[in-house]
Amino acid sequence: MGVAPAQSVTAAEIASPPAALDRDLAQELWRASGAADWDLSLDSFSRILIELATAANFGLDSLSAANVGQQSAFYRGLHLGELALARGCAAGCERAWERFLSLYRQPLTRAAIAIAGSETVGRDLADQLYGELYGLTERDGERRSPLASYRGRGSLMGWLRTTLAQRHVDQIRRTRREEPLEEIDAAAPEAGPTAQPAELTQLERAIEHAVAAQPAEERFLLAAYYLDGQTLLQVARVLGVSEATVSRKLHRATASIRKLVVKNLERSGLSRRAAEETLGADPRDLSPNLKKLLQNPRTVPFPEQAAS
Amino acid sequence: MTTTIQHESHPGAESLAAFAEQALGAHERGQILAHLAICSRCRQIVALASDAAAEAAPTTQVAVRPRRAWWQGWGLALAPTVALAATVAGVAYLHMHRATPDNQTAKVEPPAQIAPNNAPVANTSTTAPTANFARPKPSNAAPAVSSRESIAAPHAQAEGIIARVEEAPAPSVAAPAPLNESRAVANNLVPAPAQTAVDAWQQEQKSAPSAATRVFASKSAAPSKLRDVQTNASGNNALAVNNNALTDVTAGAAAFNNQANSFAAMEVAPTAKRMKKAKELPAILLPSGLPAVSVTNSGSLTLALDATGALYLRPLAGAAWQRIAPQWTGHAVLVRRQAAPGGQENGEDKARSYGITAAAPAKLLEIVNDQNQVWLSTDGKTWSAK
Repeated sequence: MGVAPAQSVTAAEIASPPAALDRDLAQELWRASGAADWDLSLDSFSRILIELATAANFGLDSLSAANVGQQSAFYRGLHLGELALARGCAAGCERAWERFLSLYRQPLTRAAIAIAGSETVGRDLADQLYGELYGLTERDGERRSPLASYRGRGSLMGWLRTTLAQRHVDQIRRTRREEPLEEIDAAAPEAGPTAQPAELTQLERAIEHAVAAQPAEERFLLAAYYLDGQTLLQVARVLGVSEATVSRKLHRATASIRKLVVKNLERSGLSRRAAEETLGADPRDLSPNLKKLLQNPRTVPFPEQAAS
Repeated sequence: MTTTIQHESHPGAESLAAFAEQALGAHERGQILAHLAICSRCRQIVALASDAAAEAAPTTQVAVRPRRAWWQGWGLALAPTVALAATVAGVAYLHMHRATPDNQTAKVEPPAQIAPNNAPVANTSTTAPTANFARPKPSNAAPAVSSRESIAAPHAQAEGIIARVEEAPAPSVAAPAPLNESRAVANNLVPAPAQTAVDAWQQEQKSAPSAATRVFASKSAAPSKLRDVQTNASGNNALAVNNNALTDVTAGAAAFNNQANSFAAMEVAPTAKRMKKAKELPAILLPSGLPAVSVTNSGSLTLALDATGALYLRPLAGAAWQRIAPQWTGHAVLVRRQAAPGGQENGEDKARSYGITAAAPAKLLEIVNDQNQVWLSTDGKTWSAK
């Protein structure tokens, strides 16, 4: 039984998962994955595939329906071998674990050391995750392995690295929160609201609006580069582009923000010359929190815009 | 947006990893980017994971799938392909570097016009190291050899000719030798000490830019001398080697440059026919039992030096050699007819510049010793310092 072609489908059909995976395709994928080696039957593997395809809606937005070609491309684009191995491990197949160990134990440790920046912390991190993966945690009387949540969209090693990074970042954040008060620099008492010239208020609002108007990628770039202090190379790796491209995009984003700020100032009643002069204000006189701006794009629209 | 047990409001490791690996579609990618723009925690996670991936990338790639070098795909076809490419490159190189010289020598090469069978025939030029250049001069003391010589002359083929000539027996030759044959003979006449010196010079030149340069230098581009070889067909194996000292011996720098150019031109492009004939050319054995290392003639008079510096004179072709008592100091290394003065290029000079000179009678003869001192003579028997 094939996947129902869904070129034009109703909302109900979109919401409902595909009834079944085409038998031939399922067999092809099952063979390609080597799932039989890990005691995964064709049916169980098909169920896994259908489940994850449904969860991701074949990589499309929730309102779109995938046609046969899109479904097939989605299935074939999965890391099937690694998916089968992960699910075999999660199901407790010893052979799968042996294979997993031989393939990923050392890379996992190396990745943990690289992420933690310390061999001791890294090894601890890796061992902790390894125990988790093996299913030492139990929920409702069942051993649960995070490997069961691997869906084969990216590589298994990438998933392991990201999971390690998650654990590490969460641990650091948790530790920070648990630091005794005396070890944290006492925050300086915030100065009370001070009256500031109207031009500066306008400038702040113009900046807020300009930043919020940036597309997601530009805001990510600005945040990663200016707030997190990541290098061009780091940002480039994440986006899968070259450093030069990142640099160009950053330049374009800042130029766009400047242009928008001037435009917003003009809309608020300033002449172009006055707007340009306002841009020359000392940043220390401004109070907009860029971090808050970048991470909370909701801003109050300008009255003029609201009116229009 | 996918969620995990721990992070209810953040994308799961699956989505973040797939995002970092560019494995998501546009829609999902946009969702993740929108989240990353506002979530420093997830940005940090993605950055850390990407850094770790970058660090592990080389080892992972090797472990998963060793990348084959581009040439490994050629398999067994690689060796013949490389050989063919080398052959083609060599032929192209020879072709390019022989075209001009051949044209130049072709104008004067026909020996029949210049040298009848019973007269000294061809005056072929070459360069060969001589004893007084056993210690090669530094480059600033080298003769004003044109750059063309140094560039065009490196020639593995010349090396091959010379090597074969040295190995070949010495049958008699009745026919005039073509230009390159004579050059090869001249190289064959290089005495053992001089050759040793040349070898030493080669050793010193090992830091030279290329092996080809060394080959050329060892066989044809002596540091500061050029040697004209005359083949006298009237004798059984009479060879006249007419040496032209270059820089500090002759004043004709301009004439030399012309010669050097033509000699360099002749260094290249010996044909297979010439190579074959070159093997047949004999060396002159002198009464001392040593081969002649420097030979010249003046009319019917032939003078030859052996490796010990002893001078022998033969008044007529076919007559017996007479030893001439030394009237010079040092070790004679070169005997020749006097070079044209002042660099003026008369007809003979021009002809010689192409490597061919009909032997002219009653010329002034010269002996050069290893100190570069010169003695003159008109009859070959009486010598006076220049």
